[in-house]
Amino acid sequence: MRASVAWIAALLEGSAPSTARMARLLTASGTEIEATKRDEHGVHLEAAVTSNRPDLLSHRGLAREVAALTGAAMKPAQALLRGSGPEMPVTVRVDDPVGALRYTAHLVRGIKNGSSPTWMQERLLAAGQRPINAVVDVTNYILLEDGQPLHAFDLGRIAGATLSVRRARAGEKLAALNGRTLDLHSDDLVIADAERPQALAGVMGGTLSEVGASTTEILIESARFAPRLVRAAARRHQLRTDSSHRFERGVDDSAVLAAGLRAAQLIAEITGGVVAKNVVELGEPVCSSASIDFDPASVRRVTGASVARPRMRSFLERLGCTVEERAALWCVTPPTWRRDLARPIDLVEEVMRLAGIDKVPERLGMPLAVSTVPPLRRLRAEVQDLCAALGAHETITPDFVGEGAAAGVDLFATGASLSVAAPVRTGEAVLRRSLLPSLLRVARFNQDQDNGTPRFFEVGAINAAGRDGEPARRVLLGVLMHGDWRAARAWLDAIAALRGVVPEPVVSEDGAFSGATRAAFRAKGIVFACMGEPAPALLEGLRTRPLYIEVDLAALDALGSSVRRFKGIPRFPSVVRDLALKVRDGVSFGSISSVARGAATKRLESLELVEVFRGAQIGQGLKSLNIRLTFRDEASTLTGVAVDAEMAAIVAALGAQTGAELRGA
Amino acid sequence: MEALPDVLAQVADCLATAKELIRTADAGESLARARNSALARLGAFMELIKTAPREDKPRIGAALNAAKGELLACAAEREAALSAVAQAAGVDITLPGSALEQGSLHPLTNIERRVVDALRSLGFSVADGPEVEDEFHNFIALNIPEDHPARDPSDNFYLKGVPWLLRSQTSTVQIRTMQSGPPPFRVCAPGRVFRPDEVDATHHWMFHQVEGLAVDEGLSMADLKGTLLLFFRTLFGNDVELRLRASFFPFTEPSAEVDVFFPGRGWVEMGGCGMVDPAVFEAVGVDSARWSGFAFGLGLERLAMRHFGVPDIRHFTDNDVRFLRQVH
Repeated sequence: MRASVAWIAALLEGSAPSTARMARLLTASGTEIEATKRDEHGVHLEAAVTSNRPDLLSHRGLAREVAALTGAAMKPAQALLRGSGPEMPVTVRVDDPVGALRYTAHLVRGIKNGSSPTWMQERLLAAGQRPINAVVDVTNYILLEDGQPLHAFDLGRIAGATLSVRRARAGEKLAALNGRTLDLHSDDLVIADAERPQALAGVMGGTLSEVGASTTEILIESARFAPRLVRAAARRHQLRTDSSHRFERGVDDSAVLAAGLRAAQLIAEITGGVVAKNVVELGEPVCSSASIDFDPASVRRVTGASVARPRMRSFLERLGCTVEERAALWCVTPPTWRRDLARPIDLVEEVMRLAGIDKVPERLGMPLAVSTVPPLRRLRAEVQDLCAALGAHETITPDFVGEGAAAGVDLFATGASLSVAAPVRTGEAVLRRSLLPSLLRVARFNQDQDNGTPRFFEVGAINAAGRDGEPARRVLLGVLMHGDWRAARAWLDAIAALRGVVPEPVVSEDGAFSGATRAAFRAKGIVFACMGEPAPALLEGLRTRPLYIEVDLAALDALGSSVRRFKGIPRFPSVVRDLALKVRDGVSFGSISSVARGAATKRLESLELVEVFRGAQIGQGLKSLNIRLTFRDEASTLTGVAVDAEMAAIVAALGAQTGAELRGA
Repeated sequence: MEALPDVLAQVADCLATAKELIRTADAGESLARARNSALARLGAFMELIKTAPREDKPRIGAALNAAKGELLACAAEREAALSAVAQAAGVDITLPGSALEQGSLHPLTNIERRVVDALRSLGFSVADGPEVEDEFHNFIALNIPEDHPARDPSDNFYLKGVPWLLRSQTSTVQIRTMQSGPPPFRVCAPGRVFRPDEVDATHHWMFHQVEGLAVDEGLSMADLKGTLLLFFRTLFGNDVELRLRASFFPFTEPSAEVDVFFPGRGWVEMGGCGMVDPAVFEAVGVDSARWSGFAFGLGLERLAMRHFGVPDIRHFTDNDVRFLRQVH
């Protein structure tokens, strides 16, 4: 809200605080003054009024707040005389009392709608409002001074001199004052004459009954409309107006009638018109607030601050509350403009706001407490540290992906994809179910920046709709790297080792990966990771073909402990033997490894792959596997003879079961 | 196939040439090149074995193996000699280090860890909550009623076809924590939140918050202020000051904004805080006559921007590796 400092000062008795002090006081008490600006119309404040304080959306409201904060008094409001002019025949009906909680109207005739007086124009300009004509300026003036939105209808253009407040009918339209024609919805509350809607209630008037230079008779509406309806209509028609903003947050019911009368009097004064003695008043006014049983000791209990009772009382009274001190509890009745004050805690806050919330002392007496961390968060940190240490850069990417291939990636079958209803800012609507599309986007961005092909990883949650109808969430690790299968596998092994397991590959048919290069991995029967080359459809715009690893962190965490226990240091030396095997291309390393392990005794400590190669010297359809076997006996130093026997058994089994031949034999 | 003596002579010849080259090579490149090209030439003789008569194979093989061994020994000897010379002359201390492939943690992870570590030192446990939430946890239990402007579809990411939305604040975890069992509670909850703000240098529709909640008997706003003072001093140093400004949040009352004073830099806005609103306690079935509590929240991006001197929030989600390498 833009507020003129001079206007606020004019509503205060005595000398007003300086602009800087005003800004400081308001900011410290909950209404942040975001800027103080001076232009040719004077100094004004940009006040960020919080949604609980609609009473501050006016100069009077801000002046009241300043008065409460400083202890100054408000100037008494001018007495209002009811109209005395001849009755003006109009019929006003509220057909929808749920929408129009209160509807009042004053009538003025014989006006000459020229321009408004200079003093009024200056105030409007200082508050950022352009002067238009006397009638419109007065309604804007009252809105800015008292916070009550008003609307003036040109009575001469109201068919049948009849207004009804009702919902719009099918097909009805309104030519709105901003030049747009609104297609009205059956939930829209309208003010209609005998023929058609003339205003969208609480939001905007229509051009047909617009007040202009030729207007001589007017009806000034001052009402209280249901906030929900005004908000819905303003949203539906994308019309956020000063009026709708105030109705949405709630206007002071007890000021509705007075604001209309004040406008009518001002208009009559300025335009030479006469206020009719008949007044439209529909709906029951809510003139008093419910009182609150307030325990003054609760201020100390809730805030730790000591505020003397007389000061408390004075603060509450400055805010417009009436305070009746009883034995233990005070009976406090807030003013009608403070609908936000309804519970004892609201009064505690008010007392502290005025005492200065920063007066709350600092107490350093919280007891010691155990601090725990969810297990998954621990693994997450371990994984982050490992991947960074291994040379990858951690990314943080937004959750949305575009429609198409990226949206379809769901490597762990988490559930149906979710999308946002209105992707206004994101451009993309679908929530990712894998980190792969996001990491590919990072790779593309870096490729386009000529940053080469660094490794990237991310630890993040993905969300989907689970089969049980509840949200399904998974915390994943994604690693995107360039290199061969064995390089990527080394990363996966290192990650799995965080929980002491060795991944065992199983066939994967996930379409997110290219057919030839993909696998899932399990340990203890649980699939916890997958790895592969992303399918071509996902690689659009990328000139390289990276490999991707994705790990379900909860699954990995369940596989073992983070603690690797000491197993002892071998007391006897090991013997290492290399084996160069020639096998058919289709024989996997895994089968060689398991046959060899099956044939050896427990002295075979490890079996490592040294090298795989193919070539003319090996022969068509064949490959060479160089493996290194390490033997150790727990209880003695191994003899060459014993190892020869192990090797012979292994070679024989490999020959028989896999067709492997020794190279160079 | 050439005769066996010819092959052996060629191997010997090749070896002699290579050894000469190695003996005269200087450090680094030249020695490595001489050694590798000799190894390659010896390798080529391997091909000869294939076509050699069966009876000659073992001798050629043995000769090649011997030659290879001799060659490597010679290279090692030269390398040692060169390094002795180099040591005598002193190492070129201006030599650059060889490339080390270092990874990095994201700056937001770094900041999150600092914040969480500071809170853990004050006895806060860490809690997680889902990004996809229902209206109960995101609004209703947080005292944000149906008609509240904060529930406007244009201010939230509601999801299509399901009664869920992306959480707009980590305060949802307060609710989940209080539903998880009886008080007392002392938790912090770092996480992602979503609000459809227009993206600019200081706004993004996805950002990160850390929420704090303490519920116990007899807690007052003085405990909140004391805890925040300890927290910010643990995080930023012992010389920062704290200030509260009144504010409004539906789920706390009284509510305040927290500013921190940095010597030489002035007051900086940090986040919001307040006493847990009785309506929130009621929504989760905690007896507010017995228990009281406080909550606070701060934005991680703003902290990280200030801490690392990052002028534009979009750097955090672009993940340009030149940024990631610099800032962590």
